[in-house]
Amino acid sequence: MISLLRLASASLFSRRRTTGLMLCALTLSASLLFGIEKLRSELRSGAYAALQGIDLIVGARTAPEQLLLATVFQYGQLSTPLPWSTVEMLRRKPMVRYAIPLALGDSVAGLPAVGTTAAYFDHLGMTDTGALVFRAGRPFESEEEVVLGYQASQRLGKGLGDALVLSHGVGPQSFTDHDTHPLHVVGILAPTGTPLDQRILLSLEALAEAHGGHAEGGSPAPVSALFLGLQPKAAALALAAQLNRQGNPALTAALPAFTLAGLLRWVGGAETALQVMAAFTLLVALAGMLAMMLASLETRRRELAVLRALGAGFPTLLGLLLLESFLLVGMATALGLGLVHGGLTLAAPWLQDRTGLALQSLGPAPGEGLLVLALLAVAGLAGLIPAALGARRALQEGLAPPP
Amino acid sequence: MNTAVPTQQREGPGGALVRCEGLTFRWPDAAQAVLENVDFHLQPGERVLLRGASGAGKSTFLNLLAGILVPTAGSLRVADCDLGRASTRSRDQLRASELGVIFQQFNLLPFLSVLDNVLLPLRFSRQRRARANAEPGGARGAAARLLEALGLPLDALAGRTVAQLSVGQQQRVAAARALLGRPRLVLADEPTSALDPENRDAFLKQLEALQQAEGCALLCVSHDPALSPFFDRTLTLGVGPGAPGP
Repeated sequence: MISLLRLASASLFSRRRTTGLMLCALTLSASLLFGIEKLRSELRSGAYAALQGIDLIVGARTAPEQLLLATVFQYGQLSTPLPWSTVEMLRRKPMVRYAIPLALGDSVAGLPAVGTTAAYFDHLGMTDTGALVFRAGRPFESEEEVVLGYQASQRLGKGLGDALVLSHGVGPQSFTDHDTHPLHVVGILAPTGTPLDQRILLSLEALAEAHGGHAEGGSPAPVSALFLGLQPKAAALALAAQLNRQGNPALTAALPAFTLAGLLRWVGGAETALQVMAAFTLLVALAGMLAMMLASLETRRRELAVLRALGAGFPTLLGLLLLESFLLVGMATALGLGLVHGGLTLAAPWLQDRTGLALQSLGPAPGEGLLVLALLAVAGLAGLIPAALGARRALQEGLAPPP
Repeated sequence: MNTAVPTQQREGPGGALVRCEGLTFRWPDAAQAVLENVDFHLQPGERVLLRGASGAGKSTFLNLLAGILVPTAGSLRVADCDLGRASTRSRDQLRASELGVIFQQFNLLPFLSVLDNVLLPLRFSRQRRARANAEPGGARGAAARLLEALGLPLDALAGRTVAQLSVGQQQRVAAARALLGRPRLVLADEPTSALDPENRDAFLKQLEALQQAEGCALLCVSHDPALSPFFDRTLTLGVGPGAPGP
């Protein structure tokens, strides 16, 4: 038996020139919609991925957003260092599993050089143990050794064993080069798709050495902030509340996921604007489909008259015409998804090398299923208009096919 | 106003395939009826030619018989279905299951193969599908035999699209489609007007033979008097009061 699906697809195929063009327009706008959704979710999951292993961020009193942006996203600076006594005090707390100090403020050719401890490599990664994955080499062990993030190594063109010169201050031009103190690359991290990829990591001692001398009270270098790992993780809330209340020294403890969520809510407006734009291009494409289907009804009066004579009733004709718009939009959806995911899969290595944008996942974005359903629903609604008109007219015209 | 008078009343209306009494049809806003008080009976297996000047309501009559239009007054039964009372759905079902239709031209869907065009009516009626499948070789076998009898052996058509067929061949495919699955009545609306006389006669001969073999009735509407010899009786749908019968 010839199914309605075969009838609809054969009819569409017989008009392949117009349907082909329509399919292109629909596919492009669908892939725009899916692409934006994918990118949006990638940016979000990328942002959250950067918080891996960090249960609490502690710094001198500032806004939690600023603390998060400066320590995790390399955006803005922290002017007041954390007193070494506070670092020690926090390290001794029983619920603190690890405390990773960050000394910010230096750079190499515009890339941030961050002084820290080797604990950084043990806890801030995505692996089960929490360790960071090395593409090559190993963590730093002495004051002459540095580890480069994946993109930092690409940008600087430095590999294992190469020498680096640290400059004070952030920014491409720096006034003082610490070139008395040579550093050697001993490790290169695997790409993570987070700002870590651009970092240059070295020990606090190496940083202090580069600055010539030690900072106050036992601290090898001024610590800007601490990343804390807690056990249990739920202790973060209570500890944050306690630290934020503390007066001397005045501290800020930021819950990273919570603070990021707040920031992203603010960014969400721009995302929504993009989505609305994509939705509009899709509406335009659907309007084009509507126009095409309405125009095709004229040339298909004979076809519908024949089906009518063979006993096809209004529901069958309506279903047949509706099926066509579903077929078109369904194909456009599949092609659009294929284009976005296939394209990203193919382009992923290139994107990572050129832009440092590492995709967190190549799978479907979380909002995608809903988007597909919404697309098909809108297609159904749009297809209903020509379908109802065509089926109704076929009933009115009766048996004789128009000449 | 218009009256179709049967040349010979064969038997009582009980066994009639089409029983139409006092049939009147008027478009909703029209003052004048297109058909008024038409009496017409068609027996199973009968071949009837219905003639009439253009505007006499021939195609309206066909549309009524096919269940596409609904009578304004009078009674109309086709294959045991009271078309005056039946729902739209059951009228569509009647057409799908018990009727075959041949148009003047443009009978076929150009994007389907010849065989699929012939098989298409089976899509719309389960009974018809069951009847066709019950034949030797199934529905495909039945379709192939019908096409063969109409001078279109399937293997000769292989690989040809509908658009590559001549008009005469297209009409034959349409006839095969109308007859597939043993409908009880075939309605033909000027089926030969696109054909030249030789082609026309050959087509009608084949149609007649098949109609007899399949045992269905045939009602053909045409203005062409040359068709008469191929039919059991000829009726005229006249214009004006007291229009003469044939």
